[in-house]
Amino acid sequence: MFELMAGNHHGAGWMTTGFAIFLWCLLPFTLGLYVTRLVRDVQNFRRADAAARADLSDRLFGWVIAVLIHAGALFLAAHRIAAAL
Amino acid sequence: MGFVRRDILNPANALTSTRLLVLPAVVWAMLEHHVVTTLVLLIYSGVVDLVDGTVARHFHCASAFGEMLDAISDAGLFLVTCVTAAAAGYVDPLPVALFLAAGVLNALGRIIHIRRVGRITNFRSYASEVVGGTTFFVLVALLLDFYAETVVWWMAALTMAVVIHDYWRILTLPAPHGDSPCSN
Repeated sequence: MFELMAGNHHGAGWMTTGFAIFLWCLLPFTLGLYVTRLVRDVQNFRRADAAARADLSDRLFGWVIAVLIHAGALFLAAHRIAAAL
Repeated sequence: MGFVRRDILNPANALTSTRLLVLPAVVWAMLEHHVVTTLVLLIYSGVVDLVDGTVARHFHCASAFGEMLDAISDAGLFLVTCVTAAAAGYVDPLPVALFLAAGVLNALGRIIHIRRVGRITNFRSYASEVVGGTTFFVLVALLLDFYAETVVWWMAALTMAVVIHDYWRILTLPAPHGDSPCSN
């Protein structure tokens, strides 16, 4: 615990824990934004014609990548905070 | 001639170019393990990246040169910070090399797109913009030793997936007549 709060090998442990808290303050909101976009574009994709689906599939891929990045970052941040408690 | 000077010498480009000027300071601070100094410089660079477009629109000086300078500043900061992080022992060099290689492949894909379209234009990809938007956080994760290896491996894998997806689109979709909007 002390090591996680007081220092890593760059002597920045408390900032690392602070960064994890910062991520948990920010990312749930942006994750909600991307999930909303994902659901919206899945619904649009079902109704779209072939031409529109090309652009929508690119959007959907982007939103899925964003959700994966958010999920990974939130998991690591939660792990860090839990270890520091 | 005046238009050329206006395209190059304007407040927005002056602001953007300061991001290049801080690069040597970033390298020094990282090598000396001055974490707070490096963090301040990264935040400065990130804030300038956020506001330079607004400054360009305010002063009516948005230009292709400014866009290019912005892209060079982004790439420069990312490249220099990643290489310095690997060199200074913040993170294992292998995932950093893979991550940077994915970035180079991404840039080559855009050159192929330009050759297919026949004019200089940017290939827009939502996934690529999402990955690009995480740059600042990845650099901070490296700096603060926030699961640095895991973060870089994860981002290298996702970037490679995005590169494969973008190459598939570049090579299979008809050459576009304009860029797809990517504003939301």
